[in-house]
Amino acid sequence: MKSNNGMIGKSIPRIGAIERLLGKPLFSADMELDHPLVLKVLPSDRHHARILDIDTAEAARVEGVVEIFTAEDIPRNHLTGIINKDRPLLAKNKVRSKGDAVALVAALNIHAAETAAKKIHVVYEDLPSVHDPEEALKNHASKVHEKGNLLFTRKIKKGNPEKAFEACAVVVEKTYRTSFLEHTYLEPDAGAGYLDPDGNLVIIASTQNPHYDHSELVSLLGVAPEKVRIVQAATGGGFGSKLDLNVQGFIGLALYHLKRPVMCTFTREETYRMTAKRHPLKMVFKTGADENGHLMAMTAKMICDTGAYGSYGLAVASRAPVHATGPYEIDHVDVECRCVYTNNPFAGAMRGFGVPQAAFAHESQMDLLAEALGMDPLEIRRVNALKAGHKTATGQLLNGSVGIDQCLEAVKPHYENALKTWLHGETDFAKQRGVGLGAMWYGIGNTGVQNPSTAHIEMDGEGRITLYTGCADIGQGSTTVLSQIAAAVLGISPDMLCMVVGDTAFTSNAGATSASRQTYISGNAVKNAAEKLADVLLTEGVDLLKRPKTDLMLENGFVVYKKDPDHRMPFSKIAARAAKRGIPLRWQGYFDPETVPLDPETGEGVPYATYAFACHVALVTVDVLTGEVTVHKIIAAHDVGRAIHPASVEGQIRGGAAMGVGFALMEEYDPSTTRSLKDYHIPTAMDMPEIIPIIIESSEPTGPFGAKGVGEPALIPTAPAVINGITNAVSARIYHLPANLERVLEASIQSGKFTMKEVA
Amino acid sequence: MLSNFAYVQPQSLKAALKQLETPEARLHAGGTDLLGCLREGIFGAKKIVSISGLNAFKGVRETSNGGLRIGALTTITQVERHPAIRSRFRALSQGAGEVASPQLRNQGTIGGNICQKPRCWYYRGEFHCLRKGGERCYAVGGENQYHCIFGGENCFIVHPSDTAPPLVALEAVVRIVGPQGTRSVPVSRFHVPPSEDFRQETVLAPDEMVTEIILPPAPSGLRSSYRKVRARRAWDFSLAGMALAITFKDNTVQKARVVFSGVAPVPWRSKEVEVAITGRRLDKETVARAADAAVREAEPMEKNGYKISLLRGVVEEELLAAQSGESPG
Ligand SMILES: Cc1cc2nc3c(=O)[nH]c(=O)nc-3n(C[C@H](O)[C@H](O)[C@H](O)COP(=O)(O)OP(=O)(O)OC[C@H]3O[C@@H](n4cnc5c(N)ncnc54)[C@H](O)[C@@H]3O)c2cc1C
Ligand code: SF4
Repeated sequence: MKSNNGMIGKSIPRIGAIERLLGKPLFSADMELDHPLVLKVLPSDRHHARILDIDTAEAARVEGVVEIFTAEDIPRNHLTGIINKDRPLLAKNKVRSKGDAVALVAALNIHAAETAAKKIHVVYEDLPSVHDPEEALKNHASKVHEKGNLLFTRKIKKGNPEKAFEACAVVVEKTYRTSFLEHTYLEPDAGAGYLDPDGNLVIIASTQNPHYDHSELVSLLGVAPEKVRIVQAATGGGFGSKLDLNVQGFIGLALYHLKRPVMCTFTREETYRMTAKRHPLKMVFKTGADENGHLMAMTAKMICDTGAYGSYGLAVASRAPVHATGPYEIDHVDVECRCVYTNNPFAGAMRGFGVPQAAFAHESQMDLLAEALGMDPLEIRRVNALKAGHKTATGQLLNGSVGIDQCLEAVKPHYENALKTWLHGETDFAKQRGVGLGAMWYGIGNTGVQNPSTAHIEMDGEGRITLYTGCADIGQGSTTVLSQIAAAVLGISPDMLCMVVGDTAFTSNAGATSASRQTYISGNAVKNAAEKLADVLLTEGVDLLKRPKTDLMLENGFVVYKKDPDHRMPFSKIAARAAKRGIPLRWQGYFDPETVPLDPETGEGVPYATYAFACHVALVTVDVLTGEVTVHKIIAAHDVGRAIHPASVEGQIRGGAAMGVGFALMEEYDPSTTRSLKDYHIPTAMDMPEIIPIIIESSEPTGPFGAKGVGEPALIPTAPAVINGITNAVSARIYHLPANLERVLEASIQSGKFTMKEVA
Repeated sequence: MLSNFAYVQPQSLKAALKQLETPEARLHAGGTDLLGCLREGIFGAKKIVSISGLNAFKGVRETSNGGLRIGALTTITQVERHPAIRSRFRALSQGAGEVASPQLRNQGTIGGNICQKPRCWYYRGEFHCLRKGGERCYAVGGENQYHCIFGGENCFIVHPSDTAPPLVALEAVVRIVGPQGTRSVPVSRFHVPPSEDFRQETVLAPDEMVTEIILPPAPSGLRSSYRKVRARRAWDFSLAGMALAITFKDNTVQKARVVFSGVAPVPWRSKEVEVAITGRRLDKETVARAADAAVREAEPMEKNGYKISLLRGVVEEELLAAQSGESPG
């Protein structure tokens, strides 16, 4: 940690918050363009079919229709995808799910576009479809993609679990299942595009990764990179789904051909039908422990349904098994996760990339083992918690920040108090109370692959500083945090910085806003850039102030002599002098976390440079006669390394817990019946518990000022804690998420709780 | 997307009735259900007749004999919060409070609430099912976890209203005005079961409208309550619910009306439960017997069997609460 002028750990006003409260930021759908055309996608209405013919003649005659595009109109590569390219922008020859885009209408108004879309006649020849990943792996199964339905397998092997099980005092084996989920961000996908005076394609979109969008458009259209500019508009949430190319490709295609302003705004129904879902997982976990509760061995077989396309499926299928042990040291591990194509809607990134699913399984296992051994659930977690010096299942030696112990310690008083008093408080005759724990770990950044970030910092001749970052702020507050980091290094107040964010014409690649990576990775890149500039300022200061560099510091826009703060030089003077002497004042910062790719057979490697840790306690009440669950309180301890902006960290924790309650109790996207918000339950304010965030700061040596990440970790422990709480209340466990009313009622009946308690 | 229609806002009842004579005219109160139906293309409209200008049918008035007249255009929020309804007809206040979300309760009217269209997923979707004039009911053999366990025949919807079951329990009457004049129908006969007509939800003719709902005076000692179970705390329909209007004499049930929501195509009066408890103390045994009686005639579909246990649970909870006075009203 070099200088830190009090900017780190301070909840300064969020950049853009006032503007947002005043309704000023422009979301993509609000763009005012000159008579834009509107775009409408015709989605497939078949699960799996060959396209024999697309007849657009009648649709083209609809008044107001300007053009109708099909796959043939895509100039270069028609396949998209961030990890593996398998998803056509517009279906070519066949459709693989009901959300596949078949044709694109550009029209003068939405009425014409919708009418025309209905008049496009597609002749399909149905193919057998497969909707269950295990079925999809059978020999006779219909092939979703030519190369077969198994997209990817990740294996993690350490020691000899089969042998180790023999020595265990208890072994628990259970099967867990989760459902498809829909992100349900507030702002449905939208974008707008126009040609700038030089004929370049400018696309303004709701996105989590503008630089990826840029590379896809260059690939689709076959144009020079400088001909395409992606600007991130104000973005109303994403949770992983806006990492895919949802509307940007359509806008680019229309713009390329028609050369006039276009807009594409999805309805809620379209986001439900055509964008990614959370992968449902089936997980068979076997875990063994000795009589003291020490975990000895675990095996897991996981299968995840990625639907018709890969999207981030490989990342999910890698992350889920890597995290399958939970934040615990286990010597003998054998985990396999298969990622499988089906004709279901495609699944992609969603807050946590498979770790929320895995945590549901490993934390249920922990409670089952504790129960079998007559141990306290907190104690069994404490006994096994990872510590510096431990080795993970991939053989990684943990030597930096490992704050799980502190998280467990922090929740302990709350947990014990809940068990001692709250649990026995008086309730209505049909109500049973329960207390549950959930812990997690989460690797920051992408799994065992390079995922660098870059940033630029620039000082003009008058000493004004501009920070350029490609990092998309989708509501989490990264712009504010990055400004704090740069400001701390340069000894200025963040509001003295001009921020240029998410515009490929000016910013460089910062990678995706995903994997809880931006504070850690882009934070480091920004810090690196700022340090280069700081170094120049100090070096120049030596000449001007005639004092050794080690005695100089940066403060409030001045280079200052530490021993006599009045002896100082403003940045503006230094900048002017440097400019004259031709010393560059624009610097690039770079950071790529140190990882080692995972071995394809054993999973050995260093998937992440650092991990976040957390533990939640949930206090729940179950109505044993109706299955209704009330979550009263969540106590959420998170090791974030260092909270650069504590209010944002708390915001993430609260939002994560809210999403976790939904994942635990109600969210389920049924591909055959879920059309929009009316069929999909997300929690309302009425369903929210009291949330008590506890920030743990186990400083990470490689993090910017010690920071790690919190975006996804916030959600992960909630569902396991709630499920363990329900189990505690009704003495029966639920193995299939969500634990909806029907499943809880069934559990209550199975355990014999479905009776009236003694009535006074 | 909505197709084009004419919009009129008559200022008198007479003018409104005149407008309703137009073919494919649709009455618009708060519009919270109507606009959804039009947008989803469940039915079309050539003309929307907004009755929001008919001030005479807004608000709650006392009747000379101690009952209440609730104008059809009274908002659900007003019904929930009205002091006389809260104190004397608590089940209705509770039912209104359980409807949808605060925004929808502020906009939606009690008249619209009892006239709303079913929520069957197929009906609201792109399926041309029996109730919409098609050939078959898709819920049979389909996704029927939210469908009925009582009274299904041809069509298996559940009635979505949370105010209608309390109104039936409280023996309310609907005042209907049409070209032929005025008529009164008990709320218990206002909704049409599919066994009689699967195309029609209420006894209303297209050119008729509901003007008022009349609550007869509450008998002395009346306790009434409404309990609703649903998947989340707000903005969600009943999976099973129960309205109860009950009077006790010396700790035994003198008279009871029990009406279920969420389990039948119309608010479902359970004479079985009423018989099982009348003349008895609501002890554990009686309550258990009543819960058995409640579900004895239930006919679950493939995916809604859980509603039987759920309804049992609701009946037990509500009766025990009534006995212990936890929900006096
Ligand atoms: C998301 C959502 C959730 C909901 N959840 C619930 C819930 O949990 N519980 C519940 O009970 N309801 C629920 N509702 C339904 C809501 O309460 C009704 O939409 C509302 O009460 C209808 O009132 P309105 O004045 O808006 O009726 P409108 O939409 O104006 O009318 C509804 C129907 O009744 C007819 N109509 C209206 N007034 C009259 C009248 N005076 N005479 C004759 N016909 C008339 C109209 O022609 C139309 O067909 C929900 C609705 C939505 C959209
Ligand atoms: S239950 Fe009724 S409304 Fe639903 S599909 Fe069947 S007929 Fe149609």
